[in-house]
Amino acid sequence: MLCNRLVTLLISTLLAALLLPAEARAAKVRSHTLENGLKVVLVEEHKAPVVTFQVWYPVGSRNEVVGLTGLSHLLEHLMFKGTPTVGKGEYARMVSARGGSENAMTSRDYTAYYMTWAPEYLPLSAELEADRMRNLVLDDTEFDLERNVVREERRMRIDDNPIMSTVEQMYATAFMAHPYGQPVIGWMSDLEHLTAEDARRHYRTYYAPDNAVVVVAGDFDPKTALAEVRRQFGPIPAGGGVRAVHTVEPEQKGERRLVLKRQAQLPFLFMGYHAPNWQSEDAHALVVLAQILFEGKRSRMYQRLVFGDRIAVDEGGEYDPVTTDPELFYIYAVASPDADPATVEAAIHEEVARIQATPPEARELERAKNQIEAGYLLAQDSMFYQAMQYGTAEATGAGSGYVDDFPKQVRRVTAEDVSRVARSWLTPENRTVALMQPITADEVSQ
Amino acid sequence: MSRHGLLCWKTAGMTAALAVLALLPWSPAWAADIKVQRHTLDNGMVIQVVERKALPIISVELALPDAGAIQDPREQAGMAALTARLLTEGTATRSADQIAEAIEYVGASLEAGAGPDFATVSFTGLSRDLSLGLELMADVTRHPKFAEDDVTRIRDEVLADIQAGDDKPGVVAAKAFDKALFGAHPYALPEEGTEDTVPGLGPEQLMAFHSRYYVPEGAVISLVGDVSMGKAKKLVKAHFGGWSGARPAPQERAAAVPPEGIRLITVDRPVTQANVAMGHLGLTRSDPDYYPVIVMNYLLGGGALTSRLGDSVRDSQGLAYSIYSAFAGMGDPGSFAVRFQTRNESANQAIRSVLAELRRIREEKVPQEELDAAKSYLTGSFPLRLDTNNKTVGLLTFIRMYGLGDSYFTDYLERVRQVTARDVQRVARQYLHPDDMVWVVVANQGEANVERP
Repeated sequence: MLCNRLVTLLISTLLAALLLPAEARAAKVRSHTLENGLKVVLVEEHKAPVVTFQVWYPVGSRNEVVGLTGLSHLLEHLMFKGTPTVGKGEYARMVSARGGSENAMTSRDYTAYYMTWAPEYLPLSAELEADRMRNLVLDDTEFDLERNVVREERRMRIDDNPIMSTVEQMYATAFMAHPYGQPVIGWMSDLEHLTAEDARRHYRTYYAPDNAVVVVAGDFDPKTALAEVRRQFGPIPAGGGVRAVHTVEPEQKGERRLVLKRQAQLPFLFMGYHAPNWQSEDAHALVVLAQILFEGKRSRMYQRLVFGDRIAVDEGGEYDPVTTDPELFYIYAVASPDADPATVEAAIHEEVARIQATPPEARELERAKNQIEAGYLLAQDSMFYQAMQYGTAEATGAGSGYVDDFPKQVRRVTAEDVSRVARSWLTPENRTVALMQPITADEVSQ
Repeated sequence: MSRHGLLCWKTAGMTAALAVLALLPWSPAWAADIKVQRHTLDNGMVIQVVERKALPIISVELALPDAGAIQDPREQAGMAALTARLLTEGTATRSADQIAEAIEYVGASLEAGAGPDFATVSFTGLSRDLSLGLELMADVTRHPKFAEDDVTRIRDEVLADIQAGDDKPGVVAAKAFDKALFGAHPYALPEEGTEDTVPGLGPEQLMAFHSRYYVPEGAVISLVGDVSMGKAKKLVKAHFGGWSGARPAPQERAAAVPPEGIRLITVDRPVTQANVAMGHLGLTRSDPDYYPVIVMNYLLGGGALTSRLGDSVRDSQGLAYSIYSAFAGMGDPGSFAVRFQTRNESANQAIRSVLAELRRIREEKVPQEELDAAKSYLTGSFPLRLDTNNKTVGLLTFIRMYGLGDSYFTDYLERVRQVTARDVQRVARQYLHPDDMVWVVVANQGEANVERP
C-alpha cells in the first residue's frame, strides 16, 4: 500500500514540472478593428473543417435600469423573429437544415449569438448576423408572445426553484447600487410591463458595430474570413454611442444577512464576498484560492463539509474575474438532512480563516495549479468553448490577452499570495449570507 | 452550480448540441472515414481506439454491460448505482483520499456511475497520465473495498440527493411518470433507488453485486485522443489482463404493460407552473424502426425550435419556454414522452395542443419539404455528436452496449436518408397512441384543474 502510494507520488511529481507544452494553445489568434468600430477576433484552427461564428454585444442586465429589468434577455429572444428578408423562425430552420446548431445567451455583461456549421457557411453566418444587427423587425404581437415565453422561463428557472430564488435574492442584497443586483431574466413585474417600444429603443442603442465583437473560430482562411466580415458588416454605420455604466458599488462595511422561507427539503446557504475583477493584481491568486477551496474531492470545503464533518451533501463556490465590473466570490452548501445550517456556516468560516492564517503547502498549491493548467488544455477539445473564452474576455474588457496569459499568470501565484487575497477579500464585513430555510406545506398555506 | 446557471439561454435542453466540432471533418461522409480500431483480450474484454493527436489529451471509458440498474431487484433499487459510486471511494490498497489525490494532482478526473442498462468507469486527462489513469481505473473496477464507513457515508449522500430531488418539479414528474409507465419492469424505479430501498443496501450486498456483474467478458474499454492502438493494447493488457470472470446468464424480467385509456396522475405542489409529462411505451434502441421513429419524432417535438410542438405551444401560443418529445431507445423498450412546463392555468390548453399535434402527424402525411429538412438536420448534425473526445468515447460505448454494430457510422446516415413520408406516417400510427397514455401533472392542482379528454 505504502509502496503503491510512493510510486504514484513520484510519477506525479516528475510530471508536474512539465505539465504544459511550450505552446499552451494550438490555435492562431488575430484581432482587427473595422472603420466602423467593429472588433473582429479570428481563432484559426485547422483540426477540422468547421466554423463557429459568434457575435458578442457588451449589453446585459448590467445596462438595465429600474423598471426595465430583463430587457436585454427579452431582446435576445426577439432577435430570432426575423428581418424584412428573413422570416420568423428562419434562423433555426436555415441552420438546422444545414446540420448546424445555433443559439444565444444573455448574462449580466453581454448578449451573444452563435452559429456552428461547415466553413462553407461562414459567409451566410456573416450575412445573417449583419442583417439582424441592423434590420430586426420588432412586431407588437410577436413581442407579447415572446414576453409570455420569457415569463414561463422565469417561473421555471427562478420562481419554482428554491436554490435559484436564493441566488437571486443574495445578489439583490449584496449589490445595493450596482445593477449586478438585478436578475438577468428580470423581475416578474418588469417583464409584465415591458413594451415593444422599450425593446426597439434598446436595440437601436446597443446593437451597432462599435458595440460588438465578432469571434470566428475554426477552419478558415483568415484573409477571406476578414474580407467576408468586412463586406457584410462594413457598410453598417457606427452607432450613436452607449451611455457608460458609471455606478460603483459602495464598499460594504458590515455583514448582510437574509433568510428565505420556501417549501423545500434541505437548507441552502449561499454567501458572496465582493471581489475585484480581471483589472486587479489579486485576480489570479483569487482563482487559485477558489480552486483550493472548491475543486475536487481533495478541496478544502469537500474535505471538511462532506468527507470529514458530513454536514453538507453538496458544496462549492466560484470566482470568475472575467466580468466587466467587480462581482462576487461566492460559496454555497446544501446542508445534510440532520445538520444545523448554523454549524455548516461556522465550518465554512473556519475553513476561510484557516487559509487566511496559514498559506497552503507546496503540494496543495501545485495540485491547484496543475488542475487549472490541465483544465485549460482539456477545454481546447471544444472549438466552441475556445470562442466563448475569447468572446467573454472581449465583451468584458479583459481582452484576448487575458486568455492567452492566463496559465503564465496562474503559475506565478505564490502560497503567500493565496493567503493574502483571502485576508483582503474574504472578510466578514464584506460578505452577504443568504439562508434558504425549508418550511412545510402546512406552513406555506398559512 | 456553475456561473452558467446564471445565464439565460434562448432554448433549454440543447446542451448536447451546443459545442462545436473539434476534430472531425464536417461533411456527413466523414462517418465512413472514422477509424475505430478494435482488439479483444483473452479474458473477453474489447478495446476500441480512435486516434486524435491534435491535443495532448485523452478520454477513456470502460463499460460494464451487465452492471446497470436494470439488474436491481425491486426491493434493492439503487444497488447498481450505489455499487458504481463506491468504486472510487476506496480499494484494497488505496483509500478514497489517495485515489482523489493521485487523480487531482495531475488535473485529471476519474468517475464511475451506473445508468439504467450498463455501468461505466471513465478517465479524462492529459495523455501523459494515461498509464496512471488506467492503473487507477483497473484498481477501482477490480478491487473496490466497500468499507462499512464509506458505504454509510455515500449512502447518506444518496438519500439526501433523493430528498433534494423532491424540490425539483421536473424530477418529481419524471419519477412519477416512470413509476406509472413501467409498472413491474425495473425501469419503473429511479436508478439511484428510493428512500425505502437505499437504507437496506449494505457492504455485503454491494460486494455480491460487484463480483457478479463486474467481469471482463463483454466489458468494453474505449480510448479517444492522443494514443496509438499499440500503446493502448499494451497498457490495457498490463492493468486488466489478469482480470477474469464470465458474464452472468441473462435474467427474466417482468414486462411493462402498455397503458389503456388516459391514466392521469396528479401531484399537488405550491408551484407557479404545471410540469407535465405525457406518454407511453416506445421501442428498444436496436429496433429497426428506430430510424424512422427518430425522424418522425424530430418533426413532432425532437427539434426544439423547429418542431411542430415548439411551433404550436411556444412560438404561436407563448405557453411554454421548453417543450419537447423524446423516444428513449434503451435495452428493453423505453418511454415515449412529451415534456413541458406552463403556468398552472394554461395546463389544459397546452395538453390539448399536444394531443392535436400527436393526432395530426398520425393522420396527415408530412410535407416533403419538412421531411427533407428534418433528415438533413439529423444527418448533417451527426458530427456534432462526436465533436469532443468525451462525446466520442460515449458514443463508442453506446454502439457496443446496444449492439448497433461496427458499421453504425455508415448505417446511421443511410437509414435516416431512406426514411420516406409514408414511413413517418406508418411509425406515427404504430408508435404514437394519443388515446392511451400516462399523464403526470405536478402543479398547484387547484389552479391547473386538469381535465381528462
